[in-house]
Amino acid sequence: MILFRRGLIFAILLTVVLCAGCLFEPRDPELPGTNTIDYLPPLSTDNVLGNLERALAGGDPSGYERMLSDDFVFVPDSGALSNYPDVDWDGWGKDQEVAWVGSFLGNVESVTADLQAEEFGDEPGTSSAELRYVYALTVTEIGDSQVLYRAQATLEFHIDGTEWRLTRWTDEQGETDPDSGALLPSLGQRRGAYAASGGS
Amino acid sequence: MSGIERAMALAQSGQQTLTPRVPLITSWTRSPSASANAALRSVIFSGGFNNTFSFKDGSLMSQTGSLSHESYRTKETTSSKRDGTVTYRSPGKQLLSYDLTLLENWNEEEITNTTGQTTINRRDFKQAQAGIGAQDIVLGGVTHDLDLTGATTNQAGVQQNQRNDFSEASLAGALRSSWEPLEGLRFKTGAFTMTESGERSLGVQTNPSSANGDTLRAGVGYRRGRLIGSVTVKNSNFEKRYLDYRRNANGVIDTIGATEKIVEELESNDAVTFEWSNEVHAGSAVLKVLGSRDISENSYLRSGVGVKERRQDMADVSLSFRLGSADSLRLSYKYLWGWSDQTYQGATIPRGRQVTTSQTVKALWVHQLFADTDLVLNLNNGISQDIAQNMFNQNDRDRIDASANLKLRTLWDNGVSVDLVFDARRVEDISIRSSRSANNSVKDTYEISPQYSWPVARWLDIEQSFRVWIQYTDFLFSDLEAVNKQDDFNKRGNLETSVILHPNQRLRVTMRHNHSITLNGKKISDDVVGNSYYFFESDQRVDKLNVSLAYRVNDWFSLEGTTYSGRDLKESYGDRITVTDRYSGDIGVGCSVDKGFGQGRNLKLSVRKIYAHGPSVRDEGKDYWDADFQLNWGF
Repeated sequence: MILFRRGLIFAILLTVVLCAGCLFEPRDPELPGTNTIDYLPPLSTDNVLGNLERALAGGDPSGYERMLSDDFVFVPDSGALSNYPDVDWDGWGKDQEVAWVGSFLGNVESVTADLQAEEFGDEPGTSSAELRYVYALTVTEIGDSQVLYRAQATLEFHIDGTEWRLTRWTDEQGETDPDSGALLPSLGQRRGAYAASGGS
Repeated sequence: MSGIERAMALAQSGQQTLTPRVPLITSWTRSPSASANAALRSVIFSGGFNNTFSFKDGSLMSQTGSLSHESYRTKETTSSKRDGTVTYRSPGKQLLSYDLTLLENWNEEEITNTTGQTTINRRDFKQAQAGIGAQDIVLGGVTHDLDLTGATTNQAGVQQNQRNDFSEASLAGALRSSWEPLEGLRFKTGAFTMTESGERSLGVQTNPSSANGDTLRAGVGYRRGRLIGSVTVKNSNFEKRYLDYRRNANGVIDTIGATEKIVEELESNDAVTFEWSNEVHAGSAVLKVLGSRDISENSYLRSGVGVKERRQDMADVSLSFRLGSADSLRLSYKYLWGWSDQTYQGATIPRGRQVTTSQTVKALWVHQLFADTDLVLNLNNGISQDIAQNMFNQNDRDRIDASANLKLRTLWDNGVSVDLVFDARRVEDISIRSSRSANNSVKDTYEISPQYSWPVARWLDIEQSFRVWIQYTDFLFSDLEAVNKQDDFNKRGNLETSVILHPNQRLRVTMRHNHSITLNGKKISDDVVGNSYYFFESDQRVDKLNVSLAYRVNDWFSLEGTTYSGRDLKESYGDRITVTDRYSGDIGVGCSVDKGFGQGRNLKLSVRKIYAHGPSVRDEGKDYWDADFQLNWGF
């Protein structure tokens, strides 16, 4: 009876796994073109930032998602908080970030990103790191108008298994445009605008 | 003799019956508090004073007040806050209940960015709100709850040197009804409506503002025999008129070069939700089904966003049952299908649907292997897909995520515990379009992690854990000349040993050592029989040693000390071998006080001085005080 029961359990589990494996087949991708994104192995915090820049510039939300840890958290600066007070900022985790970046990159003409526009000389630790940067993005919207973002942020990383991942992005404050002297918003404002209009 | 005793004596003597006199205020609690916290990031001072009055009719009035000031060590920012509330609530057990709330939130933040430009953000928010409600009114067998709320709000704010004020009044009402014609069958309805009007100022412009909205909900719940479930339909909509900055198609403020930077916006929203949940119970087996459909439309008169439409369907089926006394099994399937579409402001046709779908199958088996030993097996397999209709973007992608996780957990009566975890996971990231597909990859990850915890004696505990991660990445198009990708591997091993000594009730010493090895390599070639050859790229070894000591001088005072030292040795192989060898460490000494002075009164204090060195230590972290002070004094 016990053997029969165990056999039944294994049969059920095996059926579930095999059926799911057969059912879930990805679509056939197109062969890579000449304009491909050359990602770096995420074996350092610099490479994670480099990959985030490449994903943003290449419009590839999949590459951006791969650099986020499962417990990723975004914390807005006070400007985004007060401009978008109804957004659930406390619940902004990986799912929200992935949904936002997919919508963001899918609805703009192009993005140029420099996440290390200014460095503060911080060094990563052996298994985690908390590094400060001033990042700068130029977003070309549909219709060719441009929106600039520049802000100071604290980015936290940790080793997830064998590779580095971004685990926390804290926007500290908007920074001044070095060319015009105007105070520019943080990228948190962009997340806020997305969430305030219902997301997607 | 007290009043009560005098009344009882009079009653017993038969002369006269008196009701004992109860004062109007039956209790008054006062709770002042103060705290200070100095940490690596910031220094915060805060204080508060709360009062709570209980009245003889059971009603309650409370007042809270707090203020705080925070200055940062890592950036030039100061933040001040002041909050106050006064609340009155009527007695709970009455047909009519009512409440009144007055509140004020004030905050000011002064930020100086890296170029020295200072911005001040300030917000002063005041609200007065009154509510009246009637619960459990039964009319013709139908039970009703009714709530009415009125409020006035006023905000004076400055955000990045732009005025942001409003002054509005609102009225809201809600009616919830339920009817149970048969035992186990209950119909429920709900109606909510609100209206708001006033004026808003943004920048130099001031205009009237308004909002109207309502929600209707109807549902039926059943509990008959083996069936438990409910069906609910909800429709809600609102319309808001307000001043806003000019926004582009993504809802982002876009005023550069615009002649009209501030516009009068009219936003409207319609949403319908349908939900069905059902459970069937048969012996130890439970079949749960949950289905839902959400449809919404959001439109803007002036914003470049235009009109957004969304729909999402969800189905979740799970079956759980026991097989004998030692086995239980749970199988589940979840399906999600949804899309969003947008018609930009001024456009005549929609952008195209962004479709997202996902399906997940899960199996969980819990089996008692031996006495005190459980085996838990988790199997997951899922696919998620993003599809852009008409290819309005290049982000079509599929992701397969399959994993198996086996846990063996033993806990003996003598406190010894042993855990063994084996985890295998395969993630396939497939971008469909040619501009993204060069990075398509399959990642196979394996993790093995045994660990044990052994209380050797009353004064000695030992814990040890060992983890190994191995990850292989196979780039699907790495064989193409145009794709600059090489398959690779990453391996990491980690051994952590903890020894905890507590030779007496006052002293506790903890020693923790962590040793980890990381190896990375890239694939060079495969031979004819399928063997793969890799080139080692780097070898990193990290050692960390933490020692902490805590000595409890008496019930409320303790001395503490901690040290940490670490070494990070890394060798990278290439045309030449590069070696980096980094040392880091810190030492902290301090004390803590945790003393109570009766109910609601306590003092907590923790002070530590920390010295640190190493490549990842910032200037502000080399030598700093970490202090925390809290005083609560209720009376």
